[in-house]
Amino acid sequence: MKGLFKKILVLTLILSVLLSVAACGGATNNLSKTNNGNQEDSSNAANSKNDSSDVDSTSTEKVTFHIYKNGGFPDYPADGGEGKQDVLNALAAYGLPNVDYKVTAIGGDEYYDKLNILAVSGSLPDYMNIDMVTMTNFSDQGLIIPLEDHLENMPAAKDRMRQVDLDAWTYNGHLYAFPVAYLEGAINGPNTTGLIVRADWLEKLDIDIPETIDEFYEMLKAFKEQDPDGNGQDDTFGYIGRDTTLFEDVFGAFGIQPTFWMETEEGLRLGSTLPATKEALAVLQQWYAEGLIDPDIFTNDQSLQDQKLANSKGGVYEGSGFSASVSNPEYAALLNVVPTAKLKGIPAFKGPKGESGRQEAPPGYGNSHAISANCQDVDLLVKFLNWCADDGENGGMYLCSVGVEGKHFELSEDGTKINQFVPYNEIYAYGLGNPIRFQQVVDRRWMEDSAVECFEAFDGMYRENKFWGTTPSMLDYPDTCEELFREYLAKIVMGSLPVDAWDDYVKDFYAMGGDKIEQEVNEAYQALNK
Amino acid sequence: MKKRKNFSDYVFDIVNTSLLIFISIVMLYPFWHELCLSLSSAAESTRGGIFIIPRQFTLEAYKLVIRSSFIWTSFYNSIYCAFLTTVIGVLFTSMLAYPLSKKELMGNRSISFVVVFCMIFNGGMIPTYLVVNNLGLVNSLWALILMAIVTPYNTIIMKNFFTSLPTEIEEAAFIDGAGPLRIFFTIVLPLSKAVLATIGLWLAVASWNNFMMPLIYLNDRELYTLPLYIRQVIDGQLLARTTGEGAQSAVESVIGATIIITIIPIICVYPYLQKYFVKGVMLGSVKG
Repeated sequence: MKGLFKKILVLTLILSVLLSVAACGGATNNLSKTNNGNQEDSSNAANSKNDSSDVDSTSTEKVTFHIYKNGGFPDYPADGGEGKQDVLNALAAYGLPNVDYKVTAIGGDEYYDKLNILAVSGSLPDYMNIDMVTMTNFSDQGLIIPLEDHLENMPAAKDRMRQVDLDAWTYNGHLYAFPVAYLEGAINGPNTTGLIVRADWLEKLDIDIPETIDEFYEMLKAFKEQDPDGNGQDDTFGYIGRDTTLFEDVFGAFGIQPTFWMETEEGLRLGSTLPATKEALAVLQQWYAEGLIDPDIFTNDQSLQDQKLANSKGGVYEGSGFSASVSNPEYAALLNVVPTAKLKGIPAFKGPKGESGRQEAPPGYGNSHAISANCQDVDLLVKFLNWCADDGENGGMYLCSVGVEGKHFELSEDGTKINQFVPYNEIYAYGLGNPIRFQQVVDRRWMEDSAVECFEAFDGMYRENKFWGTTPSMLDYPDTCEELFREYLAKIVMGSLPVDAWDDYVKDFYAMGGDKIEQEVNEAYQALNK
Repeated sequence: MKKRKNFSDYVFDIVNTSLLIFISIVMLYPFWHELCLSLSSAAESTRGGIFIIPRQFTLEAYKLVIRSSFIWTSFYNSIYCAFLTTVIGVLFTSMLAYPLSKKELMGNRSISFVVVFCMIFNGGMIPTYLVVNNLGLVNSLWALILMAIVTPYNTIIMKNFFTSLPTEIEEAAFIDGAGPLRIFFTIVLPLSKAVLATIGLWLAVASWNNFMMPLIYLNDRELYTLPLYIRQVIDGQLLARTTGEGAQSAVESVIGATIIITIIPIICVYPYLQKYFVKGVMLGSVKG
């Protein structure tokens, strides 16, 4: 027994030493490749500092841009896949033979933890997804560079960017991130969310699409009381949703959005502090008391909301226009149970004073990028980004969006539709699509007709947020602008606090840094609009 | 002599067994739920609810997960890290703990103080990152291995075990001419299999489940470990939902399939090492 133990111990030690040597050997090989200007990328301990571009002495040698994407792409190959060669060939034909790239993808909030650590150690990547808070911090520290002068060198993207996005990413007078660009047309806009309704229930109960808040209330009542699913039980609700639901259309009908900065005679005020919020809260409290709103609405997560939809427990919810596509999992699950079910997007309904409008999407479509001060060849990177947005000859817009023409998709004759041959995850696995959408041009011509109809119904139904930026006090009081309101919203709607508690909310808001935030927002807004 | 069971003994057994079965089911159900989700159709897994058996049985989710070459790369990386962390960790921890178990060692108290000090105070994420970066270990699996091999807690557990070994055995070996190294490798270690297995298992499980360290220290996708891969799958499903670029697969079933695949190795190893695990818990409690 002792002998056996000794043998195992000796063998394990030998194996671990061998593995150690192998690992060190591998690192050495990689290092030498990089130093030789080889196309292979650095990927080891010894050159870990070089998370910036590897610029070589002669212009014909490859420059590898290190790019960080905020998202999960489990299908995207570590080496860039077959698609990378297609991209490099197209780049060469476009006059950029010396560009190479390496993508690191991290999803969720951890992405920003990682960026902050890289920033502290001085090894930020060349180009990275960025959010508003990080942009503010990094620009204050000089870690990312102003981009307004470079914008002129990427006409393919610049001409399709929205001015409001460029304004939102402007801080201290400089543009610090490239927002996404958009193709023309209602379906390609930044706004994707709205109210989705069970159109088959509307037909069954002979109800028209509601145009006013009163008609909407009647519709919710009918969904609750008239057994739209026909199972003979009182088990349906009008409004279903999840913990993030903000009843945007209801607040919109009273002319406000609680988490948006609204223009008033006294300057910009947060919507939740305006008296119209109280009126909307009174309506919601009444609807909840009548059982028109799912009682679990403030605790559901996305999957619980999907379950309620799939099990025909609710008739209307705030969702993405994509969910009206029959291939979407929750729609498919619903069809599996009720083959005649139909989901449809509806326009925002009007309130007592004829007002309406849901929340517009934040600037940048969640895919804005900044260039770090570490980047050694910004001009070349900007040319590369322009290629990403260019749909002309040898341009990369389609490669970065829907893959290789003829292999992954085909354009309709009139160019208005994209017919995809493979699902998106196969395009990612090939090395194209979203993982390399470094300068995105939003193009949704691939959507199914049902989703297109939904986007068209949503078109023009959005209310503007007058200020998207971040101020120092917002960082000091991170819960004041939204979390505090959500807490009061849940308690008031569920009836555990009276509607008059809204007055306490306003007091709490100003006591918890709201006065400073409001002042800073107004100063920043005035500076932007000078 | 065997005592005959009376009525209250039977009642106790029935209540006890029922309670333990109930607790077992409560513990087992989350795992069973994920297994059923992963084997159910996209539509049925989205419908949710309680799963007794998979609904509309399909292996689609597994096909989707296994098709990605990335999962095998991350499997390899995780096994590589777990194996080396365990082997090197057990060796180094025992080599630190053994001398510390000898009271006559000069500087014993000082070194023990340093070990305990590290247990209570540590440098924090960013200073540690800077040290690892300056050592040239960032973007290398060795950052994960070397950072995890010796922990104060494991050292103290092992030191306590060594202290409890009878010194007479070592003295006898010493009289027979064995040196300290020989005593350590041929006498002490073979007598300490329980603690070695326990610490080894702890190190392996900790390495297998580690998420933050790979996230912080690894940049290249070819170095990603399984927890990072699972996170990519979950984020990928959420992103697909936001952008409408889904693959007609249900989020829940794909996540379920990924979780099942990744915990299989631990499930295979665990039953065989469980007895050591129980011993390990006792080690920390009774010896001083």
